[in-house]
Amino acid sequence: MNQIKAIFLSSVGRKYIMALTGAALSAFVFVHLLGNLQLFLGAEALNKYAVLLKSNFALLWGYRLGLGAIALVHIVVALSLWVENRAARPQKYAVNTQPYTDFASKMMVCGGVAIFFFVLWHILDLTGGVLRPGLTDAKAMLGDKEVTDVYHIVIKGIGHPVAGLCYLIATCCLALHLWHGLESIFQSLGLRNKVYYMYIRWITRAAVLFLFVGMCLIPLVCMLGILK
Amino acid sequence: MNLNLKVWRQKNETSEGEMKSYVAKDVSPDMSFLEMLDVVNEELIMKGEDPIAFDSDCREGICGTCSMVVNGVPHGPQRGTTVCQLHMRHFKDGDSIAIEPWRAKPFPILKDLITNRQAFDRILQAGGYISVNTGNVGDANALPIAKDKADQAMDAAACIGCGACVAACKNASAMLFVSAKVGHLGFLPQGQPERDRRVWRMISQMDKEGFGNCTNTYACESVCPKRISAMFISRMNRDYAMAVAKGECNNL
Amino acid sequence: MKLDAKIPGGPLESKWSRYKEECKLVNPANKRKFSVIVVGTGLAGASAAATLGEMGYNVICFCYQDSARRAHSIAAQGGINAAKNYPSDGDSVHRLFYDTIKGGDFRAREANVHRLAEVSNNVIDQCVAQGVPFAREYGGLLTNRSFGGTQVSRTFYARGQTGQQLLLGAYQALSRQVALGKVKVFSRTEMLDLVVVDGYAKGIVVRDMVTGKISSYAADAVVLATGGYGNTFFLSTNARGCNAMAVWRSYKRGAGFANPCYTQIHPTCIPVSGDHQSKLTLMSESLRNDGRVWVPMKKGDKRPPNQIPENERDYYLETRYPSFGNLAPRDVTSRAAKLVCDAGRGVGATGLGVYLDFSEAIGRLGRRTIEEKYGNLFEMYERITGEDAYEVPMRIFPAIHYTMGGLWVDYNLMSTIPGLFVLGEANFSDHGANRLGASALMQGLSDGYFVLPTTIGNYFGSSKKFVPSTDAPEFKEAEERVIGRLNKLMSIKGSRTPTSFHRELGKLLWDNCGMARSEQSLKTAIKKIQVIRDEFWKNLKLVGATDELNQTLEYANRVSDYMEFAELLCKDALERRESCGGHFRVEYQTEDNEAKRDDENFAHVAVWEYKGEGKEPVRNVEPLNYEVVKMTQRSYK
Repeated sequence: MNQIKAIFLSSVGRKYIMALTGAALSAFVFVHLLGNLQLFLGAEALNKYAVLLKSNFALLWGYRLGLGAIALVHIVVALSLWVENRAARPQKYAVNTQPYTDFASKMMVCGGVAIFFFVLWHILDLTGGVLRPGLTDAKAMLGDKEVTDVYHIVIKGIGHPVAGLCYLIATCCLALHLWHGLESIFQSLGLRNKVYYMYIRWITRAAVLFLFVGMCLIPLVCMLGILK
Repeated sequence: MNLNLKVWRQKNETSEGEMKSYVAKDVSPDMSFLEMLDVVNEELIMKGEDPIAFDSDCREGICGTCSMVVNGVPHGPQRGTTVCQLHMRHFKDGDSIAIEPWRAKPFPILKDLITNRQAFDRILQAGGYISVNTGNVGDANALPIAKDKADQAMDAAACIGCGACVAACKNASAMLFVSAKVGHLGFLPQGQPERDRRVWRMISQMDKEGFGNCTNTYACESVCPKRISAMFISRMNRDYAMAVAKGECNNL
Repeated sequence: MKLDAKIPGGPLESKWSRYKEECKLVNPANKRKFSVIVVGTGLAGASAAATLGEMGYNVICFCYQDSARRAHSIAAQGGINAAKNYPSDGDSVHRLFYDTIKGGDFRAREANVHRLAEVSNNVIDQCVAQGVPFAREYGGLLTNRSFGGTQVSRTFYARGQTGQQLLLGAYQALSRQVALGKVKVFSRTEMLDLVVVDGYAKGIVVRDMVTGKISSYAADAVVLATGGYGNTFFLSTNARGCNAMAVWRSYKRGAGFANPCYTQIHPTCIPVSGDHQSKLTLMSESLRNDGRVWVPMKKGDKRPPNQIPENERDYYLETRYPSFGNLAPRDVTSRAAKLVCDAGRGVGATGLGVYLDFSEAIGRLGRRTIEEKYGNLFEMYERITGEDAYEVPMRIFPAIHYTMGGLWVDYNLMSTIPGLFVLGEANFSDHGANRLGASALMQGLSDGYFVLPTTIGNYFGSSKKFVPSTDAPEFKEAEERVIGRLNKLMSIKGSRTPTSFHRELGKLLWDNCGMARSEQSLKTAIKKIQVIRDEFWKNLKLVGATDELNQTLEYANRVSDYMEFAELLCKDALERRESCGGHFRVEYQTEDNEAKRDDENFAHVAVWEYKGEGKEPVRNVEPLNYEVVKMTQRSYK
């Protein structure tokens, strides 16, 4: 019981929670991106991938619910920290420039909230097909089976200028979030030291850049009509 | 040179404070920042006004008493320097300078720029020591310590406990201060028997005091006058995890 | 005044062990019935409070700083001596003892100094066990360096922050006792008076510096570890808050004040830059290993140093002391600087400074080597002066650094008031007329960790136990006295700030009772001090009230003590008609300007006894009997 308390109520314990849930969510984001990059391999590849993902109902929903729970913990703990952090300085500085705090770290909460709402919209729109009726109904033939035409749904859904713009903005938020977040995972878990900190810094930053470019590419090619 | 000061004035812990304007006249570039305030205060006394109360003692950058935020930066713009060692040649005629106290809930303002930092003392009392009584401790050279370890312990031990890390942190977190003591004793073989207990108890006390949480912005190490590295925080996080995993949290 | 040093019998080497074997003890169950007040949390105070707490006594501890960790011991840079002989270079307890006696110009008490040398080794062991990160060799063992006035390497150090690390060690031990409930620390609390009941020191009156509340505390014994009185001179290397109030007011309650004229002046400080100067910063003496000291030949030569040709420079230390040159001892170097500046050849805007030039060393060894050796000092110099000492010579000037004098104590570290113990720089006992480098830390910790905890038990075991109530008339009287004084200070409503008075007093002392003193200068000073003091009590201006955080009032209260103490300092200097260590009377010097002692008439401790307001204090004498050491003339030619 004391261990649970130490983990969920203490400052450092919650750093661990943030880092571990953050790591899991980041891993998901990278896998998600790699999957989606199959867009460039053509309709068949992507649709096949979509079928694969949905082939096992229990696995799919276990995965979805697990991910949701992790995200929920990440958000709830973040909010609890945010509330405490604000309370720790009841009176703000008259000159509140914070010159040594970089932009990415200042934007963690705002960016996080933005990402949350984006993800909500993204799920309702592309996964659930609730917001734009008919969008997700498209079908395509994969061999002799009729399957959901994810390839064209994506191109059409993301290719819409407003939606595409949302995706680009969300990507910026996510990249900024991870710019600070990925490196922080190592710091919070006690893995950052004077031998490895430079490797950690550059590898995490390279990963974020990769993510940023990959994630921007998809809406851009859809919006510009490069992929049809 | 002449400077336009805006200084936080607050009569005592319970009263409301506000920024007030003063002009510092004929400031010499050779003055230290605190000497500039001394001169302003002399003038205020002669006018029968209450001088600006601020903490300072050694004025050599080692006691950790001086504590003020200059234009939003604890200890002012020169890095690796306490405000008592900051000299006026870093400012120019006509500059506006805002001077505020450390702001954090666990550091209540006692008057003007003076805060109560006893929260730090209580954190150290919770476990920032090696439990050894005076006398009969064995020869100093009986226990060799690798130079690298001793040096790292010294890097952490250089902390002067001024609280600039708390003042700079956007969350008013005391992690750098706590990690410096945990790191200092944790690097040494003498500190091993109590390593788990120490980190558990010190962090519990830190949380109890109402400091904010670390969000890894490293503003603390940027303003630290002794340039203590935030990597000690990382090390402390790991120590804490080990302590919790080993069940230290069950021993109160 | 009866001055019995209570030195144990027997040979010098076994006095301390014999004392420990024969002294009275307090049994563990009784220790918790005794309470001790400790004033000051520097090396001596914090180590004493922690150790007494560990032993089982109830300790209440006071400091004016906002935390016990900030006492001025923290600023000591160089190191701490001990007779460990780890480098195997022939060191021993006896050699450390002898060096300290000789360095003190044969004006310290043999038995105390020998005990200090013995205990020094335990201090190092203790500090290492506490986790003080002393410098080490690659093999993992402790390393030593050499320091002035010795021929062995016996100084342990932690970078340039030895004092800080030792103090944090003691503070940690203290924090542990606080957590265990054996010690209670009152910070931002200043002792204003000592309370003596039936001839025994039984309590103190303090002021809470945040609320202004005056209150009293009673205990079985009072321990003062309140540091030196260097700030009487206004400009010194002491912290701004260091003051003489505790020792001075104890003196006025009957404690003898020993050798106030022994003040140490450090030659390598950063010079004063203007009237705004609030304190002086010391730079390690080691700089003189490679720097050459000079001033222009011509009076009032204001050319930049690099434009003054070699043949117009006066390397006065090298010419005057050909064999020691730039490495002449502290007092000699300081006086030489004063002489050239008095002759109008000083450098810098104020004319109070001499050059310390590294250009020759940089040419010989390369900039890189100089950077490695002194980089941090050059950086500190740059921060304060804005000058790059690799390009232009440093400017240095002597400053008050340490005071060897203090309250008189016997072998038990007890003053002339029974129950009042005095430790560290606040007492007079171990450094004679001059302190060697790295010995102050050694003394503070020896007194606090090892000496007092033993001797205080002897006192408790041999005297009747009683703790008066703080409602006793002696306490009420003391409280009224300090409140009266504070109110008096507030009520003057004149037109000068405490700083202006302090600065005037400090300058007067520095000019007349500083590096060189003469009968005439001292008589002038005494007369002028009285004038300044009279004006202080008529023309002081304060603002605010007594019942709030009032830094000006705190300061004025301290300055009011300096106004009185300065006179005693000058009187002592006047009466000591010889030169020794830090006390240099121009009338008493050898042909080559060395201090000339008068062992026949002055081989004694001068102990001043307070006789009441407006009455002349009485000078008592404790003769110094040297059983082991033979007095010799110090010479550095």
